[in-house]
Amino acid sequence: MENTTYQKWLAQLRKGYLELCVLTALSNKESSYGLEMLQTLERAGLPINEGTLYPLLNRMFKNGWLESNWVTPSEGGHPRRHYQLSDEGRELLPIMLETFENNQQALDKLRSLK
Amino acid sequence: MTNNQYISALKKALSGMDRSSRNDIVQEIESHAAESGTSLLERFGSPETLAKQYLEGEIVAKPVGKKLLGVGKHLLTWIGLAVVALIVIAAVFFWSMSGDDFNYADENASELKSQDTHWVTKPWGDESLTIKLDQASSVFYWHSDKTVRWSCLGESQPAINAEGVMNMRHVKCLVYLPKSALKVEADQSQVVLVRPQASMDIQLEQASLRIAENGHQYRYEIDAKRSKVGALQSHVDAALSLNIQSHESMIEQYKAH
Repeated sequence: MENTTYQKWLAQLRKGYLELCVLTALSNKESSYGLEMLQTLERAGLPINEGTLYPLLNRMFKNGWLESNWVTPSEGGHPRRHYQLSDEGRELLPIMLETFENNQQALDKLRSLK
Repeated sequence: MTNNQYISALKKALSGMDRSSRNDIVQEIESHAAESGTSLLERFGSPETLAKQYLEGEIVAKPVGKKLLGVGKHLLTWIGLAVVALIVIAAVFFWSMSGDDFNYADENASELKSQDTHWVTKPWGDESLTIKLDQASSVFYWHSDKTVRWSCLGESQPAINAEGVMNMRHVKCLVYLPKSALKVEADQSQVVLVRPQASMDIQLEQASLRIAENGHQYRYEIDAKRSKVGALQSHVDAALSLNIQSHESMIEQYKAH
């Protein structure tokens, strides 16, 4: 859909949603890096482009939700920036999930109203 | 556009960002390019658009114009370096003379220690004092006197009004405080506390707070939003508490360079 207002709405909706997805994806792993996370999200049915993911990770890092460190792969090559949940991110995730589920339930109720 | 050209353009577009963050971003994008083997322009869009995504919501230092009053950027840099060098030399001198373990050079406050600077002294009892900093820089000490004593450089000299509020705007100060209750509100300012000797309430908005504990222990209660908090060890039994609320700010222990 080319509608600009729809695109803006979609961008707003996706921002918070993607942050929640990234936190969830990382909560199941010790750590992960950008390219691997792109593949994980794509496998889960959430393809996003690189230009969205990397600034998002940076913002989450600045928020203090993620920690990062540079890891050189054992097979050699360019060091990768690995991200893991910070204590704050780990604390926030269940609260965010609960908020999301409450919103989902509220929407379901609204849809079923006659 | 090759990936190398893309990286150069991205570095330029991120020039308002602090160096450490910029290096991490650029290195991460380079790493992605090396591993995925893709064209950065194709996958990330233009470097300017990508930089805009990174800079969204970022506290960005104001970019230095190419020419300011007809003077080149490089000349301004050299003048700045010369001024900093002079301040550092003076600061090292005063630091070595003072025998204090606080490094004045770091706060550019050495000139304020000079006997030639104008000092203001105001009697102050046990009543509460509020200090508001707006785009200011100040180093706070405590003394045993029942006075507030300060020396400032800047366009307007601070004063304490009838409500017990001291406003500092666009100034650089060195302040000696009595051991009474104190509230500090800092907006886009730099604050250094040297061995606080009173409990304090501190509010920070896009500000930096550094605390020189100098062997003393404090009970820290920190409510930090979008802020960077360094390793400050809170001691529950400490007699003095520092209650800090911060937004987009930095809080850390003072380290002499």
